[in-house]
Amino acid sequence: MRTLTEQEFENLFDKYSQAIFRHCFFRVSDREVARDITQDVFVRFWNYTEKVQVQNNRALLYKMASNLIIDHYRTRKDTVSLDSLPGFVSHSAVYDGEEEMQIRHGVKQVHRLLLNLNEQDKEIFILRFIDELTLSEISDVLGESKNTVAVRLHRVVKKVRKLAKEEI
Amino acid sequence: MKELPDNIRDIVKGASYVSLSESEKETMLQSVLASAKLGKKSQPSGWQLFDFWSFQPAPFLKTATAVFLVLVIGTTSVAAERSGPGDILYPVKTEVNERFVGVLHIGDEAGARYQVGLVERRLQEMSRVSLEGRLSPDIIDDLSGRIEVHMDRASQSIKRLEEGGKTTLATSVVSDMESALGVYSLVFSESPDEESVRLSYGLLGKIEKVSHDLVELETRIAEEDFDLEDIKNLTEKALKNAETALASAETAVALTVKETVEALPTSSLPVATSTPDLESATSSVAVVAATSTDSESLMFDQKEGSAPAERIDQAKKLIAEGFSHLEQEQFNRAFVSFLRAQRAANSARRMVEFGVSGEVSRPDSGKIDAAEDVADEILDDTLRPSFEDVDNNDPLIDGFATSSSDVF
Repeated sequence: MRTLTEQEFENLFDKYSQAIFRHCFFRVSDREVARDITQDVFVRFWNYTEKVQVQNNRALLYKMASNLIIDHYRTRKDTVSLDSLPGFVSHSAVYDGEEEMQIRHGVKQVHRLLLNLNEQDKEIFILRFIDELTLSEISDVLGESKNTVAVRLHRVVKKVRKLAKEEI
Repeated sequence: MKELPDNIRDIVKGASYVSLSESEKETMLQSVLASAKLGKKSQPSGWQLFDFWSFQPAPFLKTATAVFLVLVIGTTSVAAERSGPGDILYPVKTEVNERFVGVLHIGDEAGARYQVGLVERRLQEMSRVSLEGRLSPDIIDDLSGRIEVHMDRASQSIKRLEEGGKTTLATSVVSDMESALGVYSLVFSESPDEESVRLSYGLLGKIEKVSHDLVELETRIAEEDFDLEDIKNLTEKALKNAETALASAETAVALTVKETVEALPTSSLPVATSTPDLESATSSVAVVAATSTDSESLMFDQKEGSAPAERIDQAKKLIAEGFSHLEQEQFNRAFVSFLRAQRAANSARRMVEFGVSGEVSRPDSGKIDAAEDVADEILDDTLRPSFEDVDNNDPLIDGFATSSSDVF
């Protein structure tokens, strides 16, 4: 018997799909791939909840996303040029020319920052500061203790502070 | 967020602009629900199916590709096993298949035996190429180099066995290597072409070294101070191995004799064709070998003649010698005797398998007497009961322990 009704699932999709997509986008630097991974995440989530009662939906969704991103990297090792980043803003959003340029510049800045971090640091940085997950949720997603997560975050922040001084 | 510097915090805020459009969200949700209800994974989008440049096939294509690759690799691997020197797939056989199987042989003893097996495999290939008349200096150099490599690897494992105090195991492996090299040296020496003869001389050099190592190891075993129970167990095992090898050699001889009889012209085999049992057939061979002048009977006389039979005889004597040592509780010496018996029997079996006479030239006289002796010998061996059942009836072991269980 299902643990989640279709309506409940749709509500969860509505609540978390943008965040999951954003997480994937900054991890894989490709809008199309991020969209496909996000879709896969929710299919898996739906199948998983068929028999299992999930305690923390948000953490599980991020965990599934992380696993799929790892799978993606196993099969694809290319890098992305900041100048060739695909469209990243909502297609329905309407911005004037200057506003859109500022937005593009802002997102490129995020990418530029993340490019200075290794994959593990990037993951924990995104989870904490872009996705705004709690320590406890990050601990669930990464399968590490809260203490370990805290120490890793501390190191990443230290690294980022250093980068800030170097004016990335 | 407060732990981040202001400029980084501002940068991170830019991330919030990244989002799905409402239509994208709706399409994705419908796609997820449709896939989920169908019990499938999400439908791959167009780019996933056809994005050849990124070489990231959709999941179902991954499965199909995996199956295809398994079939291709499997077929290639199987086909490569039948290849020989000079064939396109030969490198797959030696560099892929054999290396893969080699990894599965864990431990120094298994590793050393595997390498010895590969030495014999290379020799078999040489023999086959020689029979096909394709033995060239290039092939000889290539295969000789490979044999050197296998022997080196075997030697390294053997050395580690010795260093680990497993002298008996090391000796057993070296003994097997010596037996294989010895027989193949004969195979090539009897071949008519010059390259084969040259090869046999090359093998003789290798045999000399291996034999030298073997003598040293056997001497060490004879003098080594083993734990009594250990050496008893080792000797019992060596005896069983020798008996098995002897039975195998005798069977090989008997079967070859039978095949020879069947291959001979029926006109020359009045007795053999009318008496189906092996005893009569073997007797017929003796008659045919002794009296016929056709080429098959000459081949029998030469190929299945004294050398394999002599080695079988030698193996029996060595087993008897081993029992004699056991009587005197000289277990170390008994072990060495049984090991030598096994070697002699294995040599006999290999010689029969490769049709080697072991004689440099065919005797000019006494052919009939020799053939009759051989036939008698084979007849005795074929009809003789298994070693454990012989008890005191066999004069060679008369007076000694009658079976391994009596001894230990």
